[in-house]
Amino acid sequence: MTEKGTKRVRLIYGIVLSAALLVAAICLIVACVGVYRTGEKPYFSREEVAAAFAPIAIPVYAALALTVGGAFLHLFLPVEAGRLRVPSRPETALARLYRRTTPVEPEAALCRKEQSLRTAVRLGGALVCTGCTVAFLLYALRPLAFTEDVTGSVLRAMRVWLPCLAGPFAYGVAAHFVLRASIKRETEAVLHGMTRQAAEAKESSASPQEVKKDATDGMAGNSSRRIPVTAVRLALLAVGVFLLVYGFATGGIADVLTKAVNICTECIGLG
Amino acid sequence: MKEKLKRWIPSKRKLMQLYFALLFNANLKGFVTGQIYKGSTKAMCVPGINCYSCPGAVGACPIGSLQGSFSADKSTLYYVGGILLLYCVLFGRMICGWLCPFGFIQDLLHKIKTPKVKKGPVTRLLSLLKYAILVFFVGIVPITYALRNVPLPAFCKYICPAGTLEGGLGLLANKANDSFFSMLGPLFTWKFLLMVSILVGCVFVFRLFCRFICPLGALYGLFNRISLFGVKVNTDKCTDCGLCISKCQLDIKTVGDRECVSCGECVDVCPTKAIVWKGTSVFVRKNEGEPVAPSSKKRTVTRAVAAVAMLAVLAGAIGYYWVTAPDAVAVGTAVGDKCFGYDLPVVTADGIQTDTVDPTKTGTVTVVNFWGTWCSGCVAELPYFDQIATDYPDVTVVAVHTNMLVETAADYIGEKYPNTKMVFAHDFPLEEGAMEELYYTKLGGNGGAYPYTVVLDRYGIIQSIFYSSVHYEDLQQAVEPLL
Repeated sequence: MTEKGTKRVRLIYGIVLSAALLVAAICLIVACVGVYRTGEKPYFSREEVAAAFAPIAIPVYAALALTVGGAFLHLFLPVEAGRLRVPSRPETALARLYRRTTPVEPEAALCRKEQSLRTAVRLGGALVCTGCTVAFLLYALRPLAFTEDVTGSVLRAMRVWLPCLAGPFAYGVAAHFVLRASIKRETEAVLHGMTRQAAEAKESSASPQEVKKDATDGMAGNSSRRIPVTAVRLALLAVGVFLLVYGFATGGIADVLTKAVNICTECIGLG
Repeated sequence: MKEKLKRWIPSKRKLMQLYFALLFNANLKGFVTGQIYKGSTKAMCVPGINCYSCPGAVGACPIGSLQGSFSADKSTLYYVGGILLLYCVLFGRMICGWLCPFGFIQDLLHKIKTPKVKKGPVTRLLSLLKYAILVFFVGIVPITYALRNVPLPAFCKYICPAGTLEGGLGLLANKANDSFFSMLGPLFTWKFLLMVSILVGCVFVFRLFCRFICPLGALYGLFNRISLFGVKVNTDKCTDCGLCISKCQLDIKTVGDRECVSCGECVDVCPTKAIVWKGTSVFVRKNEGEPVAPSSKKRTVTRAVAAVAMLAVLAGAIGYYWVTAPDAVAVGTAVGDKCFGYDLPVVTADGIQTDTVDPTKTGTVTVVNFWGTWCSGCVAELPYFDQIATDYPDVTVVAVHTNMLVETAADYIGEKYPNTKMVFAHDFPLEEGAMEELYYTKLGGNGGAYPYTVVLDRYGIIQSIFYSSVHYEDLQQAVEPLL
């Protein structure tokens, strides 16, 4: 089989299997909701639940069969050559440029402007996150936020929690594109400056200075940080051991055991 | 063909994941009998997400225990906090990559050959959702209700798919737990929907639960940089080529950051061998290209011995739990049967008194409710029993608590129900392997599922059985015809 043919087979199989899995999932969910909605106060038996799920047996078994069959199918297909595509990281590229050169006017002014823009965007993000967090905490920490109606309280809180999450998320997505565009512009400005400087240097027969890469630049874990990390590790380990032993000695283990050896039915969704 | 077959040979990490999934669920007898393990090893938290209501589970779930500890004694919080802190500092998110059974399930699901959703800036942002879940469902909600003495493991109750899959479906699959089907309701529907969505989502999105939802992974990720074991980058060798990031299917910015599960896939792809394993070189292999240790034969022998020892531990654990786990307990009495009589010690706010109460000998309609202060459903419905006891003076309500510590229940009674008409009684202390001695079991209670309510007429004949939480109206409808 040619490579093109193999790709086509993989693609078709992938699409068919994806559709089968999605159909099976939807059928399972619909069947479960259907079982629940059969009466005002349903008390089910195994037979009733089995009868409710029986109609969806075909799509579910079909999806399972396709999954298992696909595993064997791929035994006969050629091994797919893995390709690693390094994603573009504009910030890293820009940082590398700055290690090689320092922009001069007029490019430096443009760079400062872009850096200010990025700082403002990040600050804006911090403000949005802080604002949403404060707004949610103001709601959640009220005495009446959580009442004896536990599920109702959680649902009401989620009506506030989800928008407080969605806001910063939307800002983050927008900010990602704004920052990327800004970095791209700054990179172009720095490159332009480098080209211009090189041309000027050539005219005056001077060679541009190159800054050597600082081995300690930008990465985690050089030897001077090892001592503080070790100290923090040891301190946290000591605290952990102390808490464990103290909790054990004062009977903390009993409640954990009680919870673990009994089935809280609501905790596993039986309710 | 040989090459294709080679791909079926599991990697070391897969073998380790399988090993720990079996070790943490070594009570294989539980799958046969439908009973969860009730021995003392359940007091120890396993490192990963593994529901302790799974029939095979031999340890406690750390995130469930953490939520439960907020409404328990402070010593419980210290104990669970200490265990979690040790796991965080020792392993960080390496637990997610090597030890977590639910992570293993997700890895297996992702192997299904479908088009995959690739990571990007959106998934990187979505990875912050698990911190919000940690704060809200594991922090704010359980603590708020714990301050009112209502235990509420909100993450377990409303989100955790491992609980639904391992605990809920694991128990329902066994015929011995047919009574659990009567508990299916809106909560199960929601959790089943969520579980199916997450599991199917894991086929298309690598480790969907780990990346976006798991609060335990969020907690471990905070300590990833300082954890003793895991992967890190040797900055002297790193050329910042980005191949490690492209190889990784998680939303890392650098190897070893809060999203990294130390799976080690990036180690082999680094062209300068800059990615190294943290931790002692006795247990982890050195990267290729480095000088081979002079005692490589010693290393091979050490590894072989370690593998044999690990297999022996696993076999021993399975054997131990098979022998010590209780046999299936026959579900006893049914509606219409004469109820089993028992002298239960009465508990007041001061502790156990010398008085006893036998629910079958009260001479009145008797409602027997089995509850525990650790059980949110039990605590939520207890006021209804209190109301029945007040509204129907001819009805005896016996609330039989199942805490191992009488003092916990006594304090609770003194604070919440100082003037109640209910009679609080204490079930016999749980002894290892002596489930049949519990009054709860004698009355047909199934495997430790609470709450559980039985209604007896004045002759001690069982008239109604409730396998899950009840409301005031349910009790009213059960009691009024008998008066």
